[in-house]
Amino acid sequence: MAARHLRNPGQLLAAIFAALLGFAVTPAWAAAPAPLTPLPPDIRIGATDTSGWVYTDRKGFTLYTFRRDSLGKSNCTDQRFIRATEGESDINYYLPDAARRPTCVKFSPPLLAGAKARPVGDWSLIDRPEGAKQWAFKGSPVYRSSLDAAPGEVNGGGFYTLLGGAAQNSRIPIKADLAGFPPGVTTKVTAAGTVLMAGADRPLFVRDGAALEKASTGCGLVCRIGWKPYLAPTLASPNGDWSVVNVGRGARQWTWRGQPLFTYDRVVLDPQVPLDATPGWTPAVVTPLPEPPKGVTVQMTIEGPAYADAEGRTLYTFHCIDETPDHLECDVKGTSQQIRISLCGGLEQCRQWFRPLYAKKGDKAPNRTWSVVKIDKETLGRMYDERQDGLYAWAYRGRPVYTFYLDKDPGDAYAHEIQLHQSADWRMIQVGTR
Amino acid sequence: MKIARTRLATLACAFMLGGGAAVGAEPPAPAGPPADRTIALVLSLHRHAIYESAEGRECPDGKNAPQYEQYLAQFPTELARAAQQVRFGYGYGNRGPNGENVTAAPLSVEDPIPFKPSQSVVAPGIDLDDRVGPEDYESPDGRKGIDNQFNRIMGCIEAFRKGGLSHYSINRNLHLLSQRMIFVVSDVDDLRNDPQVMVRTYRGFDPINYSTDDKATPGGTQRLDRQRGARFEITTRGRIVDGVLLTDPVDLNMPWRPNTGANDYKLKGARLRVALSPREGGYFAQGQLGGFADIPTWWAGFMKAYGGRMQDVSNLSAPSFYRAMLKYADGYPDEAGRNTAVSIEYDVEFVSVHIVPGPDATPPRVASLGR
Repeated sequence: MAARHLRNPGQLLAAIFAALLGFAVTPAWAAAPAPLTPLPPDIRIGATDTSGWVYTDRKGFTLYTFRRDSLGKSNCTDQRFIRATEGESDINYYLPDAARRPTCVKFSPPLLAGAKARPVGDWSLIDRPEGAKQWAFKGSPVYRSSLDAAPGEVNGGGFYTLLGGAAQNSRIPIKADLAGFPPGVTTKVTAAGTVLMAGADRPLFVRDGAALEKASTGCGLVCRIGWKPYLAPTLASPNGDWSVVNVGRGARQWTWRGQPLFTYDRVVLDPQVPLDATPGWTPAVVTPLPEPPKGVTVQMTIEGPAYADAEGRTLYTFHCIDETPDHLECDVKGTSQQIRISLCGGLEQCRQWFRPLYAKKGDKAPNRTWSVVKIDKETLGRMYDERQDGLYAWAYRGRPVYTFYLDKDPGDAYAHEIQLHQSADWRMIQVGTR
Repeated sequence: MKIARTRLATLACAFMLGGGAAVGAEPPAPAGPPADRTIALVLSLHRHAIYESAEGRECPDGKNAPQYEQYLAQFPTELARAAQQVRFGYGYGNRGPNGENVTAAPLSVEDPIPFKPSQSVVAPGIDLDDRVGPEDYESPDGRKGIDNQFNRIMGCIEAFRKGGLSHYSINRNLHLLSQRMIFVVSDVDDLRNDPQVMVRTYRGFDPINYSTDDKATPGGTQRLDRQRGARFEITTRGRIVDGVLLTDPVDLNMPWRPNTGANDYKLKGARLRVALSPREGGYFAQGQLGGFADIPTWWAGFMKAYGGRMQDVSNLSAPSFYRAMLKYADGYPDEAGRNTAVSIEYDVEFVSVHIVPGPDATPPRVASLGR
């Protein structure tokens, strides 16, 4: 990638850093889109493998909002919590290993602003409890994550948990508002990659190999079975990748990178039912998904495609959030492994139930999403100190991946969403959902 | 000729009742098997088949205790509870001797409050193994040899009785497209008596039609999910006797989501026994689906559905429930002679649908649209 394609020094630094780490730099960096609204000098836009375009700090590290904050006020402080007080039960239980538990600001460092910082566009400044200034996006205080070790990682967000019965995540990567898209067009990460969407939930498609004129006109039969041209307003004009073609009777159809776009009326939007290929049609993919390591396969489970080992055994990661005001994730850097071990029935049973996908020390990470991490020989949980003796395992978004002892046939997913605690569960790695 | 007369009579009757109203009337019920000898049935109701008397005689000692009551009995003083929490943390589900979660490790403790199995001598269901064993039930309509040991286990647990959480959640999840289950009955020559029919299961792909009073109605369309749902395609034979379809035992695989969390439900030696009847717009089937639930994989589904605090709202406790499963297991012995599966029965209802073929039966590739 030539440096002249980079839009700002932050991206250059990020690219160099990534290159030093041995990652293949995502081609999308070269085509970083412009922001829809002006950004402060502290803020950039960066590509991620699984969360699309996000706002980053100057070094390219992903920025997050915290669900427990209110507009204009940060609830992420330096207070250390030792008891869970937000569960549905009347028991406010103690947290294991509470003495070495990090505080919220250690776990999610606030993005602080310099003395000369001024509000710009959607970006404003709020006063932190200790007196510093913190950046806020559309009023929500903004943070980095201590779980992100390199630009482009999104290890600090996007993991679902269940608190109060509703699926949610506590720290949310901030999706960048991009210029150059027609009104109403968004992107969404799916099993096909990051895909163009009409609104929030209607994917846009292109016809494979069809000539522009043939694809966009006289769609009579095609339209009768559910395919419809994605129509452009009368005054729409070409802009970058986007253009329009006439489709007769005064109607105009959007094209993207020279391909006419269609919607499909019969797309099933139930997230439990991922959809497969219809010959001749593919979604309009902006960015493909990151390739998994060699030996990792994709199998069809009851809830759609999921990653599996070479024998077809579904891969899982563990997710947990403490029922404390700071909503720290458990079983990650600086926090206790006790909940994971208790929820799989104790150390001995855990080792029988969940077997890491072992890696060799020299195995190379193919991208920012899959990596090789060190795990503890006894607990099989992730270790963060490279100097300590341990084993090596593959990780997805920073978390070790495991197979489950009951999964015998490819596509079995008996551990998916085993949820023995209100805010902790095992989840298979569904292709394109996180 | 008979069909023509029936339709004519229906139309005439509708005309007499209001003339133009006939335009929007339900299509008439078929008088026999369809011309293609095939009836596709979509599963529209699904609940545990449990015997319940009006007076609750089957539970003379009352219902089972929830996990929280077991926890209070296990740690009867505040001091004991505080000591356990400080040592292991993470609440009362982790009440094993080393802080194990007792749903993951149900044999790590013994619940202090005894388990209460159902005392009923009758239970709904099917004779799954064509023999009458000492532990088998008699059905409410007098059939012998009913294999339904889960009736003992679940009969005095509120969640599994009529109107309980399980009934609600299983049927709520039937609305999810990933749970769509279709039984295609083919080679049907006679709806009353047919010595051999074929039955093949599929996962479907489209919503079920419901009336305004929330009853499934026949006559909708379904696409077959043959790419992603291939794992749910199973074939067996069956027969129709006096209007009742009974299938031969087969290892069934069903999409299963009893509450949260889905998995394959591999029901061993499964049989379907349903009464088939014509209904406006198609056919209706009602009866039971039974089989033997493999204990470890069934328990994995249980952990998804009834982990943690769900056991309190369901009035059950994992250690005593799991021990009851081991105690009443009645099928598929291992090399040591221990039974590894428990007979289980479900009340089921189906309505007929039209299977839609065609180029758009397989939808486009957009997989997993996120959550």
